[in-house]
Amino acid sequence: MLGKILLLWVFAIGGENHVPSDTLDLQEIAVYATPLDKYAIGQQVLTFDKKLFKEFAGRSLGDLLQQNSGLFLRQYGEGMVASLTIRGTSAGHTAVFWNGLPVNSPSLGQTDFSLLPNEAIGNIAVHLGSSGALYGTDAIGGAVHLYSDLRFNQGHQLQVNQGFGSYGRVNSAVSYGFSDQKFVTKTKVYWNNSDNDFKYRDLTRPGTPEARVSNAAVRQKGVVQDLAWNINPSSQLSTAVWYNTTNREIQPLMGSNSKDVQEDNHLRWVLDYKYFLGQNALNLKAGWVKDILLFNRNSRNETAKYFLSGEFEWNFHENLSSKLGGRYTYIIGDLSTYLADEERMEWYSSTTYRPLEKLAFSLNLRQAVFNHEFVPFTPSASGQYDLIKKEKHELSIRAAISKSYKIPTLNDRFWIPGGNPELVPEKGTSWETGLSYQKNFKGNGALNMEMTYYRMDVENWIIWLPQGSIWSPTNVRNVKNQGLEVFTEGNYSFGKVKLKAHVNYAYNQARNQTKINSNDRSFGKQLPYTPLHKMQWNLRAQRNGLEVFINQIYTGERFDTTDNESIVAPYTLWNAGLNYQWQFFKFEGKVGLNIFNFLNEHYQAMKLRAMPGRNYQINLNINL
Amino acid sequence: MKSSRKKLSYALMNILRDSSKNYKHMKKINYLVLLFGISATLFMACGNELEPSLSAGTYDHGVLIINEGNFFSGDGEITHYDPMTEEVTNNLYQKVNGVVLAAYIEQVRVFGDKAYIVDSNQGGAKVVAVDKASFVEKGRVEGLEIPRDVAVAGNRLFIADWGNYDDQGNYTNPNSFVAVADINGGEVLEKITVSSRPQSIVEFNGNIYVACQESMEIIKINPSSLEIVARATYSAIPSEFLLNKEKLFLYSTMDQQIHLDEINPEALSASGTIYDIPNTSRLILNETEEALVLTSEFSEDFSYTENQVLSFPLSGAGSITTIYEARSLKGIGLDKPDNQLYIADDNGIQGNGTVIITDQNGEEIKKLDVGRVPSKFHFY
Repeated sequence: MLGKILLLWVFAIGGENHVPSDTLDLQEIAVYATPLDKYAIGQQVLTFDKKLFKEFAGRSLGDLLQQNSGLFLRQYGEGMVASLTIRGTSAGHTAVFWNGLPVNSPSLGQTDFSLLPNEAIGNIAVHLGSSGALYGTDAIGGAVHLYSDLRFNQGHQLQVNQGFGSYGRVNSAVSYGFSDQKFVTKTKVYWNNSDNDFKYRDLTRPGTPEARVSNAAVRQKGVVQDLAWNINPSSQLSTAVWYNTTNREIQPLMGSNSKDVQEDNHLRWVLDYKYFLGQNALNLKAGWVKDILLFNRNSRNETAKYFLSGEFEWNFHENLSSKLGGRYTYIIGDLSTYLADEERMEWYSSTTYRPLEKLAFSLNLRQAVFNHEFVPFTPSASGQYDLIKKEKHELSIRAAISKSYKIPTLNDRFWIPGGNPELVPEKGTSWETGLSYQKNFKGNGALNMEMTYYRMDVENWIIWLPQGSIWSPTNVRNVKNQGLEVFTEGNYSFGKVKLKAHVNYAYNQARNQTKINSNDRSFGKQLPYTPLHKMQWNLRAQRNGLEVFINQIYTGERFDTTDNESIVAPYTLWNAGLNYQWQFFKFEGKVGLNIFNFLNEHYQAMKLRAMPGRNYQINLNINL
Repeated sequence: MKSSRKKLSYALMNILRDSSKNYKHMKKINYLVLLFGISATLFMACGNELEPSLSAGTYDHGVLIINEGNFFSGDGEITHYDPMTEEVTNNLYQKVNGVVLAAYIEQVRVFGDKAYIVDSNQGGAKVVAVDKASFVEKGRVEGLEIPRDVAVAGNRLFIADWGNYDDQGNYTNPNSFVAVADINGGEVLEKITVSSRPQSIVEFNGNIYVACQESMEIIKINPSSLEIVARATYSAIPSEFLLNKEKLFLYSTMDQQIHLDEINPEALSASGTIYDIPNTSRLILNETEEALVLTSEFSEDFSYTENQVLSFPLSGAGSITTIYEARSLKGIGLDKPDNQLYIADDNGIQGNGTVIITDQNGEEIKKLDVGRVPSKFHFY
């Protein structure tokens, strides 16, 4: 009965529930990393099927998340800036990591997800909810982790991917890897080009005639090199370098034919050394993140971050693990209007304890200092209790309470004119509770369901306000957020036909609690471009080597001002496609066809930013 | 569209049913069918159509409130306020014409039976001519760069345009011009090269006068020959020409002072009238030989700004009177027949703005909820 009631919650999804593994076997684990959810008991960590990265080859991680999750990205056009909002927070309230390095821009305080090509990413995980104690600054709404995906003992592997699509889309990628028991190397090179000259209805001209987007071409290329070396049975060295450059014309607003261009260059390097003492591990990490942004060929903004960190993890026994670490960050910014640098230090500890088979807790603590000022102490505690744990089905209840913070960006403090050096960190306080349900259908399938309710207060939220003819940031806004996330994932086999489906639904309420002045009508109103509702589902059917899928995304209305007096219309997109796995002598691979927005919906994610109608993409993948 | 979506969800359910060869699986798969069916039907309807939602009404009198919009957002619009009926119509252009104005509005001027909306939205700058009474669009002038003001002489429009920014990233405007077009819109007929940043333009006694900010120059143009017939350097940074009692005045600022000069229309000489009032951004003249100005006072760290509306006698012989104080004020206007002051509050440009109507002493009479960044008024 309970199962039937839970089934009526609406649907399935979820991230994989990792089972923390304390057994270290360097023959199988290429680059050892603590499972992300090991110290996040009671919170949700979403992972995504690796197939999606192939299906979204030539497109950005922003596109993948927008069309395959309940997360909303503010997209300023096809291939244009895409900023992620988690749980109604701002773009700067999501921490983004690449192989453990924080990669949010120190000047802008956020990541543009349109600049993260799927070809360069081995895997991702999205930690929903405040996680400042685990990850440090920016993780007020959540955190996104990008990983390399390396494995030993795979021999030689060569992959070639070639795609073609509408509006001049051409994407190419070549990946070569070799690994034996001691050594692994993987090199990826990719090129993604799109003219983006799609048609749209121009809502700014009488009769709303059809027009074609101009000045929206994107040219992207990059290379990723991963290396790992098992020095001896107890130590491992790994490194990764990622260079990505994107030349974009900036798609103008409807009614405009502006010709802005932007070039983004990113160079990221990380070096990890791990030393294992029985079940315990020492991890030393160094990193460098260099960002260069060139706007209209003459405004150059350059930042660099240098990292040194160390962490020791004790796995006392199978029910108790703990880690203690510290990280030093040096940041330097050479921007078009200012030059600035800063130092950050942070210390943290995390502990997970499972006193009973059905009960587990996590406790995380973090203290950060930036420019010799203490950030408020940041703790979090969470737990999970298994109400039912049987072979066929499991039901768990979970809860978490956490604090989080965001250090003001370099631009917030030093931009000339207007930068405000007196800004204090934004801070968040959050709690959440949820249920997890898993069911097996006698080996024919499985169902996973997650439902989470959260509340969050964000204080000292920084906004830029006009002060005469200049704008200056202040810690003026407080916001109360609450919402519901429902994820369901299921699969079932009918003979040779395998069905797999997931549904995401997110309800995010983010209400402003501050009035700029007595006439301000925004008190108690939903923050701009934060949809109350987003729903997405995907159904796949597979038989032998053929797979077909269909996908629907509904994005609810958004307000474009703080007083909620004007609305950007809700929209529904339908995507579909098929993949065929083929083999020809020694060659094997996959050919895929995607039809995006096949009902040709005219829509805008952001006001007056045209988005493409029906469009196609073919990807051919060859493995040697 | 909705019909095709329903067909699609029906087909999807059929596919699911067909694929379940074994009936005992049906109960389980029914959950899938049910849930996909719900999602497919519940979340499909979403209109994205723009239609005129207001029949073309009569707007031939009242107040046009210029909501200039936020930078790079294209959300400038016009609010109409009828003081007789106290009716407020926001997004007037879109409601009448059924399309988005997509503007960063610099100015609105009314000449004859038309109102002209000057839009400097990046890459889409235009001057839109609408019928004054109905607000129905009658034409537009495109091919502009950064238009700031418009004047009419005869059947020609004269548009003061800063021209494009330089390509070195220095934000100078070396290619400023006055565009000439037909009063009904259409192609730019002629571009008269002027010195940098023509900010204000006015027709006076049959001639066109242009005040350039960057070059600090006043230029006189013959509207028939389209030739510059006189030019003179000026001692301050011009903001706006004002016509008062059949005389031509120029409001400018320099070194924390107001310059309010009567301009000789022939020699382009200035009267040299200076008032010691700093940080002003708007100036209007009333019927009693007084000027009203909007000033800003900044905190030391620029974390906040206090705005004041002041009045002072043009003779300079009386004291300065504070009429109204608040934060985030953007503009002022005066409804001369009723002697009511209209004060624009942009509410920090986070949302839409407010217009506060006061009496001549600053006592609040009424507040209007208007559009994004109200800044100027036109009373007619």
